[in-house]
Parts: sequence; structure tokens; C-alpha cells
Amino acid sequence: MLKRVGLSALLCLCLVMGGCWDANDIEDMTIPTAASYDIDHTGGQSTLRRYLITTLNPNLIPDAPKKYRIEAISGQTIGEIRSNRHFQSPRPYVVGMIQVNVFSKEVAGLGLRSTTDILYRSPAISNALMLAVATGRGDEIIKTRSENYQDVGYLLIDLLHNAKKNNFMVSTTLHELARCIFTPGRNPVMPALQTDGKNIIHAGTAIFKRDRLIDIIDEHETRSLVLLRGIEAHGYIKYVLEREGNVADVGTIFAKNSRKVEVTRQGDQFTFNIKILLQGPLVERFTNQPLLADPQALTEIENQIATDIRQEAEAFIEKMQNDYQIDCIDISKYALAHWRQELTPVIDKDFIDKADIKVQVKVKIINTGDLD
Amino acid sequence: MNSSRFQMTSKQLVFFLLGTMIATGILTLPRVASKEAGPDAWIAVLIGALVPLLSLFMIERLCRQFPDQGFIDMSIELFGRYLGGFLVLLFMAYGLFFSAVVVRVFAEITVIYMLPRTPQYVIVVLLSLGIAYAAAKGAKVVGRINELIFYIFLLLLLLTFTSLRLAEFTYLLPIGDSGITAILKSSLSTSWAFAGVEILFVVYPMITRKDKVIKAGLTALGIALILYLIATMICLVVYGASLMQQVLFPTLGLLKVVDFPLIHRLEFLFLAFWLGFGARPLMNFTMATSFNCTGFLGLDVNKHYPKIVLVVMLITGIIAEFPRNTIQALQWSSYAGYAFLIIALVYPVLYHLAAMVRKGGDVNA
Amino acid sequence: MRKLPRNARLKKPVSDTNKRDAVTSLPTGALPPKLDEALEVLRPWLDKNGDVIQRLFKVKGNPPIPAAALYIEGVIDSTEFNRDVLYPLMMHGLGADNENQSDYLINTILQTAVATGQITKAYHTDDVLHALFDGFVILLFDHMAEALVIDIRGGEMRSVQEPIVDKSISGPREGFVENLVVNVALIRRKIRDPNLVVYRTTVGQRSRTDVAVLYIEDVADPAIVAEMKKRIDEINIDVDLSAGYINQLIEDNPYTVFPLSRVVERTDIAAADLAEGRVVVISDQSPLVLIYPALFIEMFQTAEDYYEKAMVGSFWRPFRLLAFFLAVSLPSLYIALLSFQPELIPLDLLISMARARAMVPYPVVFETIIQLTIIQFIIEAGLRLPNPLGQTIGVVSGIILGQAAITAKLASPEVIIIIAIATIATFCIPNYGMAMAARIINIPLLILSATFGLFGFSLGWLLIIAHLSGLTSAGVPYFAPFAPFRFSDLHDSIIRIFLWKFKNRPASIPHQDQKRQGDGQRGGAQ
Repeated sequence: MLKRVGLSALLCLCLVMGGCWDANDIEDMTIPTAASYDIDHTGGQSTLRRYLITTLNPNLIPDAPKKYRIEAISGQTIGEIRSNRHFQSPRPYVVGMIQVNVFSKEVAGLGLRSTTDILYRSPAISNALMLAVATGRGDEIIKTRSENYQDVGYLLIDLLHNAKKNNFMVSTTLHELARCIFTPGRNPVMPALQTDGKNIIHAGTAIFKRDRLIDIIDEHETRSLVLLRGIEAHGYIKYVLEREGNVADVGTIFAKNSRKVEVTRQGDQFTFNIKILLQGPLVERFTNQPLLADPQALTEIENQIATDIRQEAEAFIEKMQNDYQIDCIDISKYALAHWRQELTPVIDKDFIDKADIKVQVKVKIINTGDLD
Repeated sequence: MNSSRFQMTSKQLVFFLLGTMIATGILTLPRVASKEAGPDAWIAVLIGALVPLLSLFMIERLCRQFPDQGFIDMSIELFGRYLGGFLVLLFMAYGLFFSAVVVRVFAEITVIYMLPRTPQYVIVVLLSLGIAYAAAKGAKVVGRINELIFYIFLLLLLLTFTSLRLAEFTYLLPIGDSGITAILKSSLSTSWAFAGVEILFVVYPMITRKDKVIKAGLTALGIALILYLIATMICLVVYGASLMQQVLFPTLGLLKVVDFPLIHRLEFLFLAFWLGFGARPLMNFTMATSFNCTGFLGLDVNKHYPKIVLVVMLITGIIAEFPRNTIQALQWSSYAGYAFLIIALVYPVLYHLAAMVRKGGDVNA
Repeated sequence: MRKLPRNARLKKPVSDTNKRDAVTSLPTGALPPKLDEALEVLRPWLDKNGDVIQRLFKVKGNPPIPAAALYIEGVIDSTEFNRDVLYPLMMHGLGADNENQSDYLINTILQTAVATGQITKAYHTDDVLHALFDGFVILLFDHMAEALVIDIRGGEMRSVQEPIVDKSISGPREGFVENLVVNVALIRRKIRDPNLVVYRTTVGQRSRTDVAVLYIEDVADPAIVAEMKKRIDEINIDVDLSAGYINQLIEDNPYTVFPLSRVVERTDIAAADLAEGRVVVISDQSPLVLIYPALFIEMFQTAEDYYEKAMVGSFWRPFRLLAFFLAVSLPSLYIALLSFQPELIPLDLLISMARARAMVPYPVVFETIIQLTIIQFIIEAGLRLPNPLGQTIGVVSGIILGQAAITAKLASPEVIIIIAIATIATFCIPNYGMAMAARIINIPLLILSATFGLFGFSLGWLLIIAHLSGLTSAGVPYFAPFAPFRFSDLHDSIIRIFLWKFKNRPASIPHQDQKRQGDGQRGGAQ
């Protein structure tokens, strides 16, 4: 009896499995690796903006002349773009494989919340998706004809993944963006990319207020931003040591940064104390004189670097408080950690420009390559 | 084969209770808890665990007075045939409803994350058949499967620790800032996550060493609490209370936020083992309900139990089709949560009162 | 043209059915004491069979006693027969007493005249006939009601050689042979405990095969022993041609692909399992013995694990379990990921896989099934062909066919690699039955994965685990020590811990005597 029931269950199962609804043959799909978001200015005025999405798709046909394919579609919402796509191309997207998203300066200036909503909700798309802002148009980045890489997608992936390893640069993932958009007191920053048709370079960082782009800063200020914001990165810092008006030494250290923030309060005045610690080996010196003969040199080098960094940081903080009036170095969370209920309503409005932010830098050179 | 198919050791009871309690709730718990309580959601989870603790104690005390009789006989003895029978039927209906909600939510999540075009009734049917097969083997086998799946589940939980790279511990501070009312309101919802303790009513006679039951129950509850706490806290530090409200299933998202060196997406491990989450409470509830039903109808356990399992699964599948969409399904799961509170708290109290009345009556007579 | 007679068409054709009435009865009743009459009774069998030898002789004495020896040539040891049965009887005969009292005389002959080890008496005709065809020598004496039945069985048989399938490098190289006596002796030599019990019985109405059930009385669980004996006694078949027949008739659950008993051809494994409290069933004419109860984890253990050092032994075990997992899951996982969840594959791998797939004209499911089928053909063909040809076919099919298929764009390299790895992994599994089971389970899992992706994959594994957890072998849970979880047994499951830590017998097998080592035992030099 049980066997009959089992058999009928099996039959039922076969009927139910009357179709593989989701099976997709991978060779019949398009796999985009990078996408860019622009505003579509062709087609005249309309009440709603049109977005232009350009995607880079490696070519799956084995004997195709080019290794990749670029598709550019426009529409009023991302969903509409996806459906408009199918007027041109029959193959569905494997959306989850997108590794990099580039937003044009224009789109970022209008606010990213609308365009990233679908990205954040889609279960297939990884939240570790890398984001970047283009200094000009996004599709130019995608259309860059890179000679050294299979296609520009790989170039972008490598560029953004390795950002923090060798220089003080920013890299942002989708998760970080979402976290900053929805949490009071945080504002995202994104790397800014620039292209000259053949190469893509890191041009600096884009500063956001909530989800809207307000400025793009250059590489020098990026370094201060990274150090102040506490993004743990490794980078080379050069120093120029002067004694009595002459250049005594020039060199570089390879430092890792970390920061500690303390916040104190007196009534309505909040004081932030940011301590930046840079430590690492000394990798280059122009003079050949060993440090043994010049024992104060090490301390002088450390102090010189600390002073340089501190001055740059203070300049940046001033710019941040006066020009931007937002917290782009992510210190409000420490204040919230103490007085969350009280500060949450005001944290985005008047808080950071009124606060007093102090910076202290300490440099520790660990290995000097000299015997001692 | 004799009715030793329905025996469980107290160690298996630990895993059995754990399996019933940790269902799809672990995916939504952080969000539900932080809705009112914000960063103090973990405190809400702690407080929410008091409900099943209370329930556990009450049920165990109660069943200790009726060691071998089982739920049905106990009800009939305490309340008489009709009222007792009605209470048993209500319990069975609760079991069916709960299973149906779990099946439906599970199928919804599977459809969203894994098989977008597959109609969810197909998943419901497949799952039901698979569960029916496993549950038809009896409590002993079900206990063993629970144990095995638990160890795999532990491994999964360890994987979520990789997302701690992005942790912001300041999201937890200051502790207690949300206020006691908010925390208590959240506790009401978090206690639903522990639904499954009441299955002890049915399973109690199957356990071989009755003196170890309370220890087993406490162990299960403790482990469940720790697991829920870990999940909630990790979600809190990685997402932050505000962002979590936007994400439907925060725990699942934890595996997506970090790019792992070789296997870029850890989700696939999770999705592969995802079935264990849905399967265990279903198996346990189906087994308990079928066992109950077999006893209720007065049928011989060995011959008719597998057929009853099929019938129970069929009814569960049909009920699972009633909610029209995901939001309604999640709504039903909150109804199931309220039902849990009633069954877990009101039932034991009722039974205790009846037992006291009966004992008082006996003493007088 | 000859006309058929009118009623020809009405006659039933000859072979209407294949059934015939059997002629099975052997004459019962006592054997007549006089030699001629006895031989007359046995005449039909003696005449029909050309290999039944009838040797008439006279036992030396005063007067000489007429006697006949009946035996089947080739089944007995002729040298022994001539030297130890015929020679003493014919040359020396009895001593002085030669009265015609049959009782006393047969005893005298039995006790003083025949120089063989095993002699019994037979009274009834059917016993004599059974004995004759079982391979014994029957001695009939004139005026004596009993016949003597002598066991000097011999003849040609395979000698004890290295086991064919289960080879080992550092262990003994003895495998069982087709003779029950030799097999039992091989085990007796390893376990000389007086408590080792050998219970003999016969199975099969027509084959009358000897079956021995071995167990160590004060270690094995009496309930299991009694159960196995009962099951064997309840077998009611015609012929038992190998241990495999017995295995299928006494196993717990015939509706499963997993082997529920261990089938070994190595003597040391059988002996080791006896010491753990298991029951060994040996069937005559079969070089494979059965061991009950058996556990899932044992199908992945080899004798080698125990003879090498603990670290070496522990190293290979997880590999075999991994091999099992891969053999069952790899093709299914590949299809599930590629067709349903391509996001979960790293980008570079995915692009290269997709490019490879773009060459092949049919979808991945078809390709996998076709290649699985072809690999099964190749394996089967390799088994059928005699040795030199078999190896050539392996090379030809493997390399040339595979390469040609890829060039002709009928197969993609990834699928070939995956199927090849899965098949090679099945060969890593020491137990043949388990390897077969792994190959079979592959297919339903494949179908589930191909229709429902990772969900189908995990559903399939859930069903497999549920199935395994519910299996029992001689009443013992099959999936121990994983479920029910027996921590004390884990030391010998995925890893193999130091031998001196094996203090107690495995908890998963019911047994009586708990300890198997002295208390102070330590490894290495003290």
C-alpha cells in the first residue's frame, strides 16, 4: 500500500516538474561585467529624465573579432531600460555578474537613491558591487579602448579592487552606499575616474551629501580624506627634510594608517579629537648617510611627515566645515554612540559645521633598513 | 518494526527542539526586532526568550504528572472527552497552520532568491513530498536528521562572521537608549522566533529519560538564544538599525556584502543548505501533528502513521496556497506568532488549572 | 502435399507451458542390510550418473566381508581414498573378531579399520543418497544395516591467493577461497579464542550449500546472533550459488541501493570485525563473506588504514568521503550552478565556461546525460573484454574519443572533466557495493538539480540523508556514528586515531565485552 502511495507521489512529482522554468543555458545569455549610468540628452526634453545605461559584455562566441560588446540602452527607469533592451537583443542578462557600476557626474549630482534602488533590492546582485563616479560621462569610461586588458571591465575591476592596497584611495561598495544613505550622520564617498580614451585613471574622490554629489576632490585631498575617514589603506608618503634652509633628505615611507576618534561635549559644543596613526617601514632615502650617524634624523623625519599630514588634514577639515557643511569623514557616529536619541534629528543639519575638530598625527617608522 | 520508531533520547530532544524553533525566523528576526527597538534589538531578543522559557517550565511540570499518557490522554483526563478532544483538535489545527505558514514563507524566499520563474506551488509540492518522506520514518529518524542538519547549520553561521569585516560597533551604542517601552514592544515580536517549544506537549511521551527533559529543553533554548543573538548582533553592526528596515531578509544579505577571495559569493553555500532551515521545523511539526492525529483517531501507530503523514502534508500544502502574495504570507506568519503565544502560554496555564482542580476534587472526594 | 488429419488442429501444441511436474521424491526408509539389495535400491542413481563410482571389494578377514564403496570422482581426494580407506580395509581388515553381529562389527570397522578423520553412520536411504551427492564416500557392508559415511572431500580448487579486488600493501595477502573448510580455518588461525563459535547449517534445497555463521560468544550481542541465525534458517530457495544470494535474502531492507552488509574477501578484515562483536557469514563455494552488522562509514575503510601509522591512516579517510560526495554531487552541482545560479561562479571561470559551452550545440543537461551514459558504456566494455584488449579500449576511448568529441564540437572539455572526475571518484570508494550506489544516486540527483537548481540539489541530499538515517543493518542504525551521533566512535570514522586509544569496542555495534585493551597500553616505546 505504501508503495502504491509512493509511486503515485512520484507520478505527481513528474507532473509537477512539467517544466524547468528557470533553467537557462549560460551560452544563451549576456553577461555584463560593468555598467555605467548617464543622462540621455538625445531625444529632446521630456518631463521625466531618461537614463542611459551602457554595459560591457564579454563576447561569448568563440570566433568573434572583438572580445567584448558594448550595449547602450535608454529609458526612464532601470526596469524600462531592461525591457527596452529586448527590442535589440534577445539574450537575457545575467545581472548578478556586474562587478563595477560607474555613475556619470550628472547622474550622481541628481541623487543616486533612485538608480540604486533596484540594485539593492535584487537578490542576484552582490552587495559588494564596486561603485565609482566618472568625472565626465560614464559611457566614455566603458567605451575606453584598453590595449592591455581583455576588456575595460577587467581594468576597472582591478583598478577598484586594488585601490587601497598601494595608495590612499577610496573604494566603495553598494553596501557601503546603502548604509550611508539610510543611516543618519553618514555620507558616502566614491572614487572618481577619468578617461582619455585609452586609459582610465583615478582622478580623485567624489564627495556626496546623502546621495547627491557635491564635489570632486583631487588626489592630494583624497589622501587627507582617507586618513581622516579612517579607511585603512597602505600608501607611500614622501617627505622632504629641511635643515637650516637646505634640503637634507628626501625619502618615502610605506605607511598603514589607522585612526581613533574621541568626542567630548560641553553643553552644546562638541569637540572631536581625531588621532591618526601612520606606521610602516622607511623604503627610500636619497642621502646615503646611514641613520646611525644621524640619530635625530629618524625623529625629524617622523615629525616632518606628521606636520605635513596634519596641515593638509586641517585644511581639508576647514573646507569640509565651511564649504560642504557635511560630515564626509564619518565622525558623527561617535557622537551618536553617546547621545543617539538626542542627536539623531539634528545630526545632518547643523551639527558638523559647528563642531570643533582637532587633528593629531603620529608617525612611527618601524624598519629603517639600517643595522642598529 | 514496533513503536520504538517513536522514541527519542534526551540528546535528540535538544536538536529536535532547536530544529523546530530555528526556522525561517532567523532571516527576519533582526529586522523585526529593530523596528521598534533600534540598536537595542538584541536586548529585545533576550527578553523575548523569556516567553518560551516560561512555557517550557510549565509544560514540563505539567507533563511530569502524566508521564506516559501523551497529549491526547492527558487532555481527555483533565477536560473530559469533548472539551479535551476539542483542545487537541485546536492544537492540531495550530500545528497545521504553523507548518503551512513555514512552507509558504520558505517557498516565497526560495522563489525570490533562487528560482524566480518557478511558480511557488511547485516548490510547496516538492517540499511537502520530501518532508513527508522524511517524517514518515518516525521520530527516531527525524531526531537523527535534526542532529545532522544542526551541525551543518553551525558551519553556516560561522560563515556569517566573515561579514564582520564591515562591522561598525558604534551602531550598538548607546545601550538601552531606545527606551524600555520600545524594547518591550519588540520583545513581543521576537518571542515569535522561538515558536516550537509547545511541540514538547506531543513529544514528551516519546522521550526515554524523562528526568533529563528540562535540561534538554534549557539547552535547546539556550543554544537558540545564542544563535539568534549572534545573528541579530552581526546584522546590527553590519547594517545599522535604519538600513535593516529596508532589507527584507537581513541575515541572508550578510553573506552578500563581502567579496571573498576565491568563492566570490558565499551565498551559494547558504542556499545549498537553506533547505535545512525550512525542512526541520516542517518535519518536526508534521511528525508531531501526524502522531497526534493517529492517536486522536485511535488508529494503530505503526500501520497508519505513514498515511496520516501524507494526509497532514496534503492539508498543509493546501493551506499554504491561501495567501495571495509574499506580503500576505509574511502577514500570516505574524498571525502564527500570535497563535504561538496563545498555545505556548495559555494552554499550559489552562491545563495546570484543570490539574489543580482535579487534584483538589480528588482530595475532597 | 499431405493433408493434415482432421483433428490435427484440435490437438494442443506440445509446449503449451514450460511447467512440468517435478520428480523429487527420494526413497525414505532404512537401507537393506544385504549388500545386493542395498545396491539394488541405489541402482537408479548409480546407473544414471557416469561419475558415480562403485567399487566392490572385500574386507580382509576370516571370512572376508563383501563391501562396496560409492563415491563421486573428482569431488573426493582419490589419494586419501586409496591409501586410507581401501588399503587398510583390503590389506589389514579387522582384527581377530569376525562375528556376524552387525552392530558390533560396524563399530569395530569404524573404530579400528578405517584410517580417516571424519566418519559417521547413516541409516536411511535418503541420508545415504544425500551424503553421496554431497561428496562423501559411502561404504556399504554386507549384512550390516548402517552405512559408513566418510568425509575425504578434496579435488581441484583455487588455492589461497592475494585478494583480487581488495589489495593491500602492508597487510597479509590472504583472500578467501571457494571452500568453506579452508575459509573457516583461515579465520581460526587468526582468532584462536576458544569462544569463537562456528555454527554450521545448510542453505538451499537442491544445492545443499554449507553455510557457517561465526561469532565470538562473549563479545557479540546475543540478540543479533540469534536474529542472523533465524534469518538464515528461514531461507527457502533452491540453489545458493554465492554469498550474494544469502545477502539479498537476509538483508534488512531490499529497497535501497546502499549495501547493508560488508562483503569482504580479505581474511584480516573478517577477523577484525569478529573481534568487534560482529557476525560473519561464510557460504561454501563463495570467496566473499558477509559481515553483519555493517555501518555506512565502514564502506570507506580499508585494511590499509589500520596497518599504517595513525596520521597516514587519517589522511586518506577524508579523501574517500570527499570522493563519495564528489561522485554523487559534482555533475549535479555543476548543472545547478551553471544553469540556475551563474552569479555564484567567479567571473573569470564563468566567462570561460560560457565560451566553452557556446561551442556545443545542445544544452548542458543533455550533454551531461549523454556523457554519463557513454562513460558507463566504457566501464562496462572494459569489464567484458579480456585483459589486453580492455586496456586498449580504455586508452582509445578515453583519449581519442574525448579529443575527437571536443574537436567535433560535440562535447565541451569541462563536462568531460567533471564526469571523469566523478567516475574516478567512484573508484576511490573501497567497497564495490557503495561505489555502485554512488553511481546510481548520481542520476536522480542530476534530474532534480537540472529542474530545480540548488533547491533541487539540496532537496535531493535531504532525501538521501533521510533515507540513510532510517536504514538499519541487522537492526543497528546504519548511519552511526553520524546519526545517532556517537562521539566516542568518531575516533575511527573520518580520521583514524592512534591504535592505543582504541580502548573500547565501537559503541555503534552492540556488544558485551566493553574493553579491548589493557589500561596501561600506550603507543611507541614506554
